[in-house]
Amino acid sequence: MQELLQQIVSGLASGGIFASLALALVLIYNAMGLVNFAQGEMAMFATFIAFALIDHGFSYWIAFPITLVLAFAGGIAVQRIVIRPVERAPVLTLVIVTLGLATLFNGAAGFLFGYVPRSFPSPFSVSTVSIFGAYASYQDLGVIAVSGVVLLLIYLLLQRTTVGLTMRAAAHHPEASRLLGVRVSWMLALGWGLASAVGAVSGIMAAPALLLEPDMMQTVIIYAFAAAVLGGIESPLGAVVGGLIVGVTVNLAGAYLPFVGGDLQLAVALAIIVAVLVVKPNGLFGRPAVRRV
Amino acid sequence: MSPALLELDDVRAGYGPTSVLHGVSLSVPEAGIVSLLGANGAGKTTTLRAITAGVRWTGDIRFGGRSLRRMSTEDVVRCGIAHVPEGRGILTELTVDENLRLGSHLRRDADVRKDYDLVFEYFPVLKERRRLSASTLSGGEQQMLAIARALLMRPRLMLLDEPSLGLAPMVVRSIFEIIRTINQARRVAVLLVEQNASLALDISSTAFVLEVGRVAVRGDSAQLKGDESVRRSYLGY
Repeated sequence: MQELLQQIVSGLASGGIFASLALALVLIYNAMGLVNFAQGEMAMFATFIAFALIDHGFSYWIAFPITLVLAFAGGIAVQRIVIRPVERAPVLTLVIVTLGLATLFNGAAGFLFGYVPRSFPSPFSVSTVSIFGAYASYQDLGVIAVSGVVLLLIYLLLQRTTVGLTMRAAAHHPEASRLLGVRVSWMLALGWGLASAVGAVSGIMAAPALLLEPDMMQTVIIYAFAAAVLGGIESPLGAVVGGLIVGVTVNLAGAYLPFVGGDLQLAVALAIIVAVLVVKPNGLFGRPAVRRV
Repeated sequence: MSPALLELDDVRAGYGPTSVLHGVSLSVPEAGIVSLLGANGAGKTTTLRAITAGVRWTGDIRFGGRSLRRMSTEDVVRCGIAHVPEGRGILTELTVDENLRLGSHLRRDADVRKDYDLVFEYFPVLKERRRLSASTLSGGEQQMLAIARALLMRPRLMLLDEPSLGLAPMVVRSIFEIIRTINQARRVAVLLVEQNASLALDISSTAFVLEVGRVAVRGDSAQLKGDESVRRSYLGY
């Protein structure tokens, strides 16, 4: 029982990381009906920026917000410079563009920072604390707390502010929103900025455990896809719940299913994607797509 | 006649290679109600879409003396034109309240709260349903929401595209009553596109009849209403 609890807590910690990246995917999917395959690489690149800042002597809690601001600005820049010119292109074109972006960020990170995995500092100690008899590390609890706060902030921004309202309006009904004076194109850019910042959080949270290198996020993005699909790719809440479920499931499968172990955890995520698409294509929180013909 | 608030001068527009408007000229006076009539496909909706930059056009469109040429939809709207489009433009994923807030989101003045009170006085049903999803509203209620939202934009001019479409006669009457009230109490000018010519002529002072992308008839609404030949050839009732 104790061990089960421990596994669940550490699953929730990875779940928070998946949830953040999944939320980033959902933000962009909602804004333009596109899965951004570069989301993981953008997060990795932002994590390198955080690394460089810390390396230059900034304290962790200063480097963290600076990185988020830079990631936000970077996301907007990517949308304005790369995505906007092809905004009206067929979705396949956009997919190829995001794949190109992924390669670009991966190569740039390798070129600038090298391919040697680096250890990334964590502000949380690895020592453990006992909760109801189970031991959880401060590291895991810290990741859960940071992810929770970030997700809550995004929720409040989208649901409780005028900017959030206009972002949602622009995402769902661009034409009707324009007639209400909403600057739709800038709202899309804002969506990219937010997604990039949320993704950066997942990268920074993942880095201490995974070691920082250009390919760091390539498994995380698969888990994030699984989380987003499970939650219903259009639902921010679904992305968060999906992330936590995927994190816990994968962790429990690794611990208790002998044939899964550490090697087949990624296969569990892929199995989740396939199972959701077969059984409930709209995910847990998604609405069925209804089209009038 | 008071000076024109909106003027269209030889406006041509279309979709890709198909041209729909072949030189439309019309004007809407300050605080007036003008109806734009004509058969299906005559270019009524396209005329409204040209005004708010939903379609490319040539010629000139001036609003309050200022040309709207090369302006984006967002900028035209911010000049003080509220366009209730065909299909009403309700954001069905959002609640009634959120739809209304999208109407007032650009305003910084102190009268916003008063305008909400006014809107809820005109349309009490919207107050009851504030927290509900806009998708749960009936067609008539959605039309009310669209007009209420337009009012909250505090426009100088409202473009209304077929507000009576698909609604029961009683609902239509109350909506037109409110359009008239808004026009008189707030001095908001209205350019009204309608299939229901009789209704539109009753409420407007001037009318333009479009035929295949051109203004075929223009005149005083009351006179047009009494003109047997115009009625038979263009208005179909």
